[in-house]
Amino acid sequence: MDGKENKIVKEEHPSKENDQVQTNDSMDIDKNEGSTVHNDHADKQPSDERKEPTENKRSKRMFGALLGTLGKFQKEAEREKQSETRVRRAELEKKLAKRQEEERKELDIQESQEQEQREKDLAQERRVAMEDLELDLKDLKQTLKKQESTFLKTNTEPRLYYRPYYLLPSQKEYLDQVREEKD
Amino acid sequence: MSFTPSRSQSPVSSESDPAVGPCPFLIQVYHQFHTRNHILDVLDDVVPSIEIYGWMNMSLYELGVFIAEKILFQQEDTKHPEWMLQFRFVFHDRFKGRPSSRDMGTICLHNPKLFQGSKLLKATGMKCGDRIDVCIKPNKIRLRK
Repeated sequence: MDGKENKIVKEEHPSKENDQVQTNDSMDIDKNEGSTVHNDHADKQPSDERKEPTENKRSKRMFGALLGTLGKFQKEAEREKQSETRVRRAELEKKLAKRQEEERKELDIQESQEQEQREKDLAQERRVAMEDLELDLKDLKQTLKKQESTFLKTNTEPRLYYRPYYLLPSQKEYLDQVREEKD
Repeated sequence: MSFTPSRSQSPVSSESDPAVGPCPFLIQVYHQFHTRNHILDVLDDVVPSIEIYGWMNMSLYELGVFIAEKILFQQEDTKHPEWMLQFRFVFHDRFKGRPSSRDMGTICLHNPKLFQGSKLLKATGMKCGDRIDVCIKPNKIRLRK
């Protein structure tokens, strides 16, 4: 009697092992649609839980996919922005380089012009100094020639100038003659 | 017999008569580019020299012009005013009993007012018979800013 009661008790209170067997059977809902023995005990508790995980998972998957696509678009937009900035930066650098080159060319031109002007001024100064020098030389030679008419010269080589305190008449005549020839 | 009243024009002792002027005398000028000659070379007449007529109230610049005409203006590459001439006269010092020299000054051909261009020969202490040693150096014209 007790053994039969135990058997009955066991049947009334199904063990976990039977639950597992029943949950496995619950996955195959389409196959065991007709059977009610399993559904009465096993589907009451996990039936909502079976629906929730699948729907949750689906919704989670869809949400994840949405997020993923949004993130993708965001990343693409950022990339485009960066590339735009890159393009702008490259353009700015090109402009700067052009401007620097132009400024350098202008400076070079200016320097060369200043150098030319300086050389012209130097050449002009040299020309003027040379002309003044030649004029001074001319004046000095004229002074020396005047002194030739005032002083007597020796016959020796090199010739020396002299003038006695008292001039002889012949010497005076000679000097007058030289003066007249020069005049 | 009439005598013309004239004064002795010895360049050593007498003062110059303004009507007559100072008597020119012969100066032996020894020259060298970029350096000076040795005193003994000058006195022994070993180095090249030229003879120039000068007078006692002549300036160093005028002397330099005469020197340049004989040395520098003979060739085209040296015929320009950008030269500097350093003068000194060489003599036998009777008191020391040996050859000696004394600096006279420096001149620039492109500007007679630079350095000692207006210094007269008689102010340098030179006497008739002393030999002059000239050092010729290039000196570029500098533009005023």
